[in-house]
Amino acid sequence: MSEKKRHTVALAGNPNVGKTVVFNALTGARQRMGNWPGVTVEKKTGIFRYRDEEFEVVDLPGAYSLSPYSLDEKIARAYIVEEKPEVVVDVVNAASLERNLYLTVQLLETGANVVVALNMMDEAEKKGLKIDVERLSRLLHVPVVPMVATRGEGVEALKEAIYEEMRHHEVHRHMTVGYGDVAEECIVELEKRIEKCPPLRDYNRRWVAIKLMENDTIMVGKAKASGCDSLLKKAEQLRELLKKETGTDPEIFLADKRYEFIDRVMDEVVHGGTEAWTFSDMLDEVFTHKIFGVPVFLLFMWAAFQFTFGVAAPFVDAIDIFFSWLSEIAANSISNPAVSSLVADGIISGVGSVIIFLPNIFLLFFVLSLLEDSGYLARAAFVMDRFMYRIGLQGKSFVPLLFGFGCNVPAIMATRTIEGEKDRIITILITPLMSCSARLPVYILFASAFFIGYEGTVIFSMYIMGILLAVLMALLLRRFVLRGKPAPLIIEMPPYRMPSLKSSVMRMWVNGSLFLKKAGTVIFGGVVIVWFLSTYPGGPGSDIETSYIAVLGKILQPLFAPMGWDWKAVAALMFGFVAKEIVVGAYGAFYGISGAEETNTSLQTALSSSFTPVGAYAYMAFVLTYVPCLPTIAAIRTETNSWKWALFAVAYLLSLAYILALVITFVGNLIFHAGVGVEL
Amino acid sequence: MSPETAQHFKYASGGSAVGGVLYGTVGAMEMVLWLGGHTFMGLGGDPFTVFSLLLIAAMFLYTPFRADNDGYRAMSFLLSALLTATIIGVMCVLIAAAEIVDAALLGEKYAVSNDLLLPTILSLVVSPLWLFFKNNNHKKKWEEMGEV
Repeated sequence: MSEKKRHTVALAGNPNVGKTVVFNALTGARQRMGNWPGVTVEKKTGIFRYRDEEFEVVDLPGAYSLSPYSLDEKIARAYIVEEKPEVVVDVVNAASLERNLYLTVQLLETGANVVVALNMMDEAEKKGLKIDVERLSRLLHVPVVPMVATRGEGVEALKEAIYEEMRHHEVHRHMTVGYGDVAEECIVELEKRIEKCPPLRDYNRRWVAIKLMENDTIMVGKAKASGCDSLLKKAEQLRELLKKETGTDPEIFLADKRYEFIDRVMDEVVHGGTEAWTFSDMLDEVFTHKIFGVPVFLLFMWAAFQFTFGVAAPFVDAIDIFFSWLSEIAANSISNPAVSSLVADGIISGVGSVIIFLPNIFLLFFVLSLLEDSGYLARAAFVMDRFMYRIGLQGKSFVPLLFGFGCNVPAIMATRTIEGEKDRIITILITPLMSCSARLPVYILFASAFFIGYEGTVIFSMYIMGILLAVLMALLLRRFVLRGKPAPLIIEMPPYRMPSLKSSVMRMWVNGSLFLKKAGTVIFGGVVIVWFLSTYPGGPGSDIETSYIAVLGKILQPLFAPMGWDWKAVAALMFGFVAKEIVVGAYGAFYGISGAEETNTSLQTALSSSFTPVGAYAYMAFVLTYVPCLPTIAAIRTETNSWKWALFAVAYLLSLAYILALVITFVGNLIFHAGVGVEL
Repeated sequence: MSPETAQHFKYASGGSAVGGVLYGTVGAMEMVLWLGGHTFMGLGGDPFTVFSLLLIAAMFLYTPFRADNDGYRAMSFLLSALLTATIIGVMCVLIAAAEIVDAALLGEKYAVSNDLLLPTILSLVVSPLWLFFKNNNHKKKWEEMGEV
C-alpha cells in the first residue's frame, strides 16, 4: 500500500487574532510542541484529515509584517519562503481588517498560496461593519472564509478552502500591488538580473526584487554570500534613483504604497460602522497626548519604581534578619573554624545574597505584568519611541532602563519584551550603566566624607553621568558593534483592562523562580570563590591584609596609581564584584571598623586620609561604571544565552570605567591644582 | 455641541476645576516645602509627591480647554485625572502598609512618611468619583454621546 503524502499548511497572522483558536479548531487534540530550530520560540504543529487527505498544520509565531526585524517575524517568513508550505492560512481579525491586511499583502507578494480566514466576524458586526467577503476575495485573488472560530463557525468551510487550494496550487495568481512607474521599472530591472544569481532564483522573483529595493538584510546577505555583486550594485543604484525620484527612503515608499492599496481595498469592501468612543479611546486621549503623554508615563514609571522598592523593603529586611540569624547559629554550632566559616560566611551568606534580590525581582515582574495586562505598557513604548529612536533604540527599551535604577538584574530580565535582537542586546549592555540602588551606599560614604554640603548634588551627578554614558554607549554600540537601524515600533494598542491578579502573580512566580534557578547557581559559586579569596591562605579569623584578595589588590594597585588609589581601594572594588554595596563593608574590614555603614563617621574619617576629593569622585565614577555585579553578569549570560555578551559587558564596562576615572583625575587635578591622591 | 453634551460638559468642567485647584494648591505647597527643605505641620514633600500632585492638577485644569472639540474630549481629561489619582492613592496606601510592617520588623517607631500622606488623603477623596464614572449610567451616556 503506498503511503499518502501529508500536505503542509502554515497558519500565519497578527498577534491576538484568534490564531490559536483556529489552530485548535482545525487540529483538535492532535498537536505536538517543540522549538523552532536554533531559538527558544515555541513551535506548535497539529494534524487534521479532510476528504481522505492528511494535513499538517504549523502554527507560525504572530507577526505584523514579514520584515526581518523581530525574531517572530523572521521565523514566520523563513518558514513561508524556505519551506514553501502548500497553503498558508492567514488568520485576519475582521474587526481590524485594515491593520491585518498589511501582512496579507506581504504574504501574497511571496507567491504563497494564501487562504484568508476572516475571523472575529461577530466583533466586526458588533462594530456595525459590513464586509463584502466576495469582493475582498476578488480583489485579493484568494479564497476568503468568514469565521467565528470561538464558536466553531466557518471551520469546515476553511478546511474545504485549504483542500481546494492544495489541489489547485499550481494555478498562479497575479494580485500585485502597483508601486508606481519608477518603482515598477526598478523592480522589473532587478527581476531580470535575479536570473543570474542562482540562490535567489528559488524564491518568487518579484518578491526578491522588492526585498532588494527595501535593502532587506536577509536577502542582501544571501546575494552577498553568493557573490552576486553586480546585482547588489544595481540594487543600490536603483534604490538611490527611487529615493531621488520620490524623496523618500525606498522601504518607507514601498510600505506607503501597500497602505494605499489597502486603503482602496477597504473603501470597496468595508461599509458602515459606528465607531463609538470607548473608555480606552478616552484614556488614550490623555495617556498618548503629545504634551501629557511623557509626564504621565514618567509618573507611572516613578510610581511603579516606588512601589517595587517600597513594598519590597520589609521582605528584604526579613530575609536579611533570617540569614544573619542562620549564619550566627551556624557559626556557633560548628566547632571546626574552617567549616564554620565556609558554612556561615560562604554558603549561608552566599545563598542569602541571592535570596535577598528576590523581593525586588518578584515585585518588579508583578508591576510589569500589571502594566502589560492593563494595556499601558504598549502606550509607554509608543510615547517613548521617538526619543529612544534618536539614540538607536526603540520605545520598549525605556522601561527596562528605568528599572535599572532599582536593580540591574530584573531590568535585564525585563528586556524580553523587546523584539529586535540587536535592540535587546544593546539595551542589556547599557543597563548596568543605570545606577542601581546597591551603588548608593558607596556614593553616600564618599560624598559624606569628601563633599560636605554638596552631598546631594554629587550623588545626583552620578545618576546623570550614568544616563549620559548609557546614551553614548548606545550610540557607539549601534554605530560599531551591532550595526543597523532600530526595529520600527509596530505595536498593537490593546484596550485598557483591569489587570488580573492571578495572571500577574503567576507571571511574577514564573519569572522570579527562573532567576532563582538559573542565576542563583552562578551567584552562589561566585560568592564562595570570593569567600575563599578573602579568607585564605591565613584561614578563618586571620588578618584580611594577608588574604589572596589583598595580595591581588596589591598586585593590581600600580594600574590604578595614576588615579591615586591605594591597594585597599582596589581590593574593595574586587569585593564589589559580588554586590556593589559590599565595597562599603570591605572598607570597614580593611580599617578594622565594625558595623561599617555608609554613615559611619569613623570610616569617613579614615577614608579622608586616603583620597583627595578628585580621587574620591573618580572612585565613585569607577564604582558607577566598572564590571556589573555577579548577579547582573549571570542575568546577561542567561538572557543573551551567550557568555560572549556577558564577557563583552565586563570588558567594555571595565575599560570605560578606567578611562572615565583617568579623565576625571586628570581634568580634576588640572582644575583644582591638586596633587595626585595618596602617598603610596 | 448638543444641549445634553453641553450640560455634561459643564459638570465635567466644574468638577475638574475643583479637583485641579485642590491638587494644584497642595502640590504647590509641597513644592515650596520641598524646595525650601522645611517641614510644616508634618507636611514635607519630595519630588515624586510634588510631580504627581501637579500633574494630576494639570489634567483636571486642562479639561475646560477641550470644550472647542466636544464634551467627550473634555471628559477624557477628567477621567484620566481621576484614574491617575486613584492609582497613585492605592500605591501610597500599599507603600505605607509596607513601611508599617518594616518598622515593626526592625523594632522602630513608625510615623507616616510625609510624602505619602497628601496623595493618599487626596486620592481617597477622588477615588469614589472614578468608580462612579466607571460603573454607573454615566459610562453608557458618554459612550452614546461619543458615537460619530
